[in-house]
Amino acid sequence: MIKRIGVLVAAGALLAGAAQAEVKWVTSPRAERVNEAAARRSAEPATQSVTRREMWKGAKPIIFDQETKQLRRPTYAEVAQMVRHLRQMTTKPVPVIAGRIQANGVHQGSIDGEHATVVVARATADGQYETLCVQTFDEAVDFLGLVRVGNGGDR
Amino acid sequence: MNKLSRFLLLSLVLILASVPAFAAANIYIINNDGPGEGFNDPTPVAPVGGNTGTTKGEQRQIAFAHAAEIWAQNIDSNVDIYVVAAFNPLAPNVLGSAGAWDVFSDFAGTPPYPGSAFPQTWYSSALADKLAGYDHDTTSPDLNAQFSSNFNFYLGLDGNHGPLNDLVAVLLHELGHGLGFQNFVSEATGANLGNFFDGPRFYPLQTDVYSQFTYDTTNNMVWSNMTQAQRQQSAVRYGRVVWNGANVTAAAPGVLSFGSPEVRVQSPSSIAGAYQFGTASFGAAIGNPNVTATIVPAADAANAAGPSTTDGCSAFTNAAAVAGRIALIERGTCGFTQKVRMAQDAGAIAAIIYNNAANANAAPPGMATDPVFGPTITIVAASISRADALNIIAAGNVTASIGVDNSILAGADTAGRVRLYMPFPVVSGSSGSHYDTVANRNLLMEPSINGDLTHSLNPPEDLTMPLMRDVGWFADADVDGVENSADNCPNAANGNQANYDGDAQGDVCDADDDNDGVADGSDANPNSNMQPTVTVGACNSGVANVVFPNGLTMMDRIAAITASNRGQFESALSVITNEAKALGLITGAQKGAIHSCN
Repeated sequence: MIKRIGVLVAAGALLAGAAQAEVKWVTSPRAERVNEAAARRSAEPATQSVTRREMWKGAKPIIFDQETKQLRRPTYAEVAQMVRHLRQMTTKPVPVIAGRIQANGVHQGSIDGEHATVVVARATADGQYETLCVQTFDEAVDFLGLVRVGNGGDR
Repeated sequence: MNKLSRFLLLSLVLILASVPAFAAANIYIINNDGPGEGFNDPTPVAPVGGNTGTTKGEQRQIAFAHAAEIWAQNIDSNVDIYVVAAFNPLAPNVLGSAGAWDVFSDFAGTPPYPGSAFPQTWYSSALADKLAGYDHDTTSPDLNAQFSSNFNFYLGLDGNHGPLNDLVAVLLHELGHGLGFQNFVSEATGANLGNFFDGPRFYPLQTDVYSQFTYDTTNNMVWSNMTQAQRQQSAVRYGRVVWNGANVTAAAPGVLSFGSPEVRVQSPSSIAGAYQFGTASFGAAIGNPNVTATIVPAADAANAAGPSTTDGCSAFTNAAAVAGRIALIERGTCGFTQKVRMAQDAGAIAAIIYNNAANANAAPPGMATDPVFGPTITIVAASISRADALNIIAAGNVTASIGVDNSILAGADTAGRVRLYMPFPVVSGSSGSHYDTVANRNLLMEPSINGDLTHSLNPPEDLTMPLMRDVGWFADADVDGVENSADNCPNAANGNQANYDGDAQGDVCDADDDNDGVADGSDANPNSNMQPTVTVGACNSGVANVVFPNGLTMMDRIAAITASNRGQFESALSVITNEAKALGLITGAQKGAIHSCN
């Protein structure tokens, strides 16, 4: 069996060698840029203090409970986790970004992936999920029915 | 199957997934997960929907590679695209995200690559690299993507996801954003992306290539040419912001179906267009029948039923003006059905409810029925935003239609340009980096990733690739920097477009470069001197420059003569002309004409 698969792999490799388009898994130091940015973000005191100060609750039943087979509202802990992750994932570099002019005059805006779109989902009564691709934190919490409580600041 | 067998089988699947179609981009995925998590999760699972992985991690790898492969088969670039990817334990209901890592502007291309088409305009990294023909930053990825390891995605490759959410479709959508299907505008404020300093020098906000094609039919401007305030206003003009790229508009009729349910202002032209609307679960369905009439604001007494004269909670005092027309009624105090019933009693043929001040920033609501008035209503009703209603009231004599317009593509404007999703308010929906949700059929790049999507990016199933073409992902199967339609060898790289004989085929794909009738492989000179007649020195003999069987022309051979005096030259020329005469290529008289030149 191993031998047969090995032959197929070899044939596949030959085929791939002739290919113009290629998808493959690689290791690359380019990933370090992502990891450095993630570490930098999580260490930012401003972000930490904002998330600590905020208090949110789930106003809509968006989670399908597998035990009860019923929709339920997210718990405070779940909401806090959603808010924390959504804050991080919807960070926007506007209005000032890190940038530089390369030697050849090209403008490089180093946004470190901070204009990503985020897919959020909410459960329906039949246990399925409807999705929405958003760009901002406000869009995400509006779709998920998360509302701010207390006087944690403006929204 | 033991561990080694599984590894080999997985390798086979991933390698075979790299076989190309007629496009060429290399997408390299960097697994950013640690041991035992995400892509490396060892939890055993059964193969599903063509995904042969036997662990959760393998199946995620195969699904991710499958989505990347679909993109790789559709886009062309000579620069490798690097995607850093991970599956992380995200919060409930957060499925994942992706985006371009960096943006670039004002880049020239390495010839023949065209470089950036617009000055002072951001391009996402992978697209900028493609247009420049080189990697702008060899230390950074082009895209970053992370998805939820908690969420129960369907990991099959066949699209038969049943009640689960199809990971491949989600990946295709998100990778599309990262590759260029997005603006870099803050829709809430209208601000473009980033001021930045390079040392002491300040660079102001710049537009992006997506905004160069985002067109507002109200003021006939693209977002790139608008002020920040204009963009902010445009971002909520539902139905009136379209994509004006030629590829999308040309492809739309082959993808979208005719018949768009709309609330549309017909006149005056200053506010004409499709309006965002909510539907009612009572009365006639929209389009049954279509209604076109003047809009008349309803007036009623301020009384116990409703404290204002615009809430329509009691009998209209301007029933004569409303009769046969569309009544416009303010939301509040009494139920939707009561307002529409009052309009019906006044003789209106339709009713539009608009948000009151308390809901000024809310989207037009869906309107529920009730058992009192609901069953009695026969006219059609719709809701609109307060801002739209105030514009209608201010405009005065407004004609509108409520119905299904079978002359308009569902998801396009009256000119056939595909609509972008610009809901009011911005917060209620996603951004202009999506097609409008009214599109029919459903499109991959709508904000909702619908369950009936195929995995195609192209017409007749989808309009993703036409938009990518518009922003700069031009078709270039041989990745030589020359667009297929202009490439004299679209499937063989020849950036210089060398074409010796000037025919339709460049040399690298022309079996006979000099068009002398002798195939290059057996041609003693594939680039022969093909001038039409034989010349000796400055003398034109008028005799055709014939081709010998080995592919040399008469002029090739004359040019190769090495002679130190006229006699030697004449002798060598005779060898050539005699051979040509013997082969029947020239006559005796023609031979004489050539020699008379010497």
